[in-house]
Amino acid sequence: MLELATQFYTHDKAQGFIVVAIVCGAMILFVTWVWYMNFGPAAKRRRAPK
Amino acid sequence: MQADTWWSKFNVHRVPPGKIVLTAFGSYLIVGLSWLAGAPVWIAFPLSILPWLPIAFLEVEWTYKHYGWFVLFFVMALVQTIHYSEHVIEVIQVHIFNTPVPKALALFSQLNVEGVHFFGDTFLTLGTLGLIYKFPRNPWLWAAIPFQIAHQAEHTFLFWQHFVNGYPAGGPGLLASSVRGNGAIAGLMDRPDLHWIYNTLYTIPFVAAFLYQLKRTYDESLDEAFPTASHSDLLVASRHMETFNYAPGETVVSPGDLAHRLYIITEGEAAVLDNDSGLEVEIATLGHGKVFGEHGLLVPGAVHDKTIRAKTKLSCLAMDEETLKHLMAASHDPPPPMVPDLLMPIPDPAL
Repeated sequence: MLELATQFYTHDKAQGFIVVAIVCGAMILFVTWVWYMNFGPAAKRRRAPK
Repeated sequence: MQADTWWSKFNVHRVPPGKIVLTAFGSYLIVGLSWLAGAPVWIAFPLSILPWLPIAFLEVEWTYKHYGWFVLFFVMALVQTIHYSEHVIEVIQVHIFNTPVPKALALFSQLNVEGVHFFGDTFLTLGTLGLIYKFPRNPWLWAAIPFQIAHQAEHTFLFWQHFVNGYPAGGPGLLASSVRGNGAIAGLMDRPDLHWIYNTLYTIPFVAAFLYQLKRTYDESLDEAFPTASHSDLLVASRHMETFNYAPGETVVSPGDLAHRLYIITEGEAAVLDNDSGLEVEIATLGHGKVFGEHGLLVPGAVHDKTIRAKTKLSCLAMDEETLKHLMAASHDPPPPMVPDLLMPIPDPAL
């Protein structure tokens, strides 16, 4: 298993995919967090009249 | 005097016209000298931009002081204009001038095709993420960000393959095709076309986002002057205000002047001067966000009884009586914070 993972990582294309996944995944997480903070259920509860 | 409209945000505020003419002259001189020296366009053009950088820096600083994070839209627009121009030039080179794809490198991309696009794109991606964080209610930013992330994915892959794994520059990336083969996922079309599509799909909503925000931004000193007023009321008020600029030492109001405007200081400092037996005595200094003139504004026929003079270069937003009454009614604010009893003498209750 470890050998397979090592082979995958050392493959150039796979390396590129991993880097893209890390970078773009971080961006998508950030955008989702901004959406959640502004439009998610908690934000709706904050805005609701008391 | 200058009316404060949404398009006035495009004015050059900090740099005097003479210096702009001088900079334009310097820039053209660089282009001329480069042409005489036989330098290629891709060297001459970036060099000719250099003299404009100090002006851009000063204007960015001014815009940040007055409109806060909205300045990021201006910086992004500047970078995106160059970035999108590169993609458009590449497509024109391929389809109109029939330049082979590997040689269609526009202007800046000739420096290093992977480096220029990766760093340009990363700046735009981080900038767009910053804009979404600061202006989450701008719907056009949400439409723009998926295409920017897709474009960033391509350039991250290309950058990694070129600089880390040593593949030649100008590769197909994830989804493009090239003479050397298809991209890592598919080969949909030539790289210049694919990247032009990414960039166009980002640029259209970005321009819409810029215009959307431009119409919803006002000078932040209004927030300080009317802290409890709503964003929408301040926005409406800002459309009825005018900007006045004063040189150091210039008098804004003098005793006896009709008090028909409220002034909010947006930049610089002003001295409040009282007349003591023919001598002017400074009794206060007003700075950013401070207000003067509003007491007289609410009294028909009232006049100023102090002198207000610019200590530094001074900019003020001026508001008429109708707008002030509307704002006070909307925000239930007492008159805005100011140096008390500055302009109108208070009647002595004992008299």
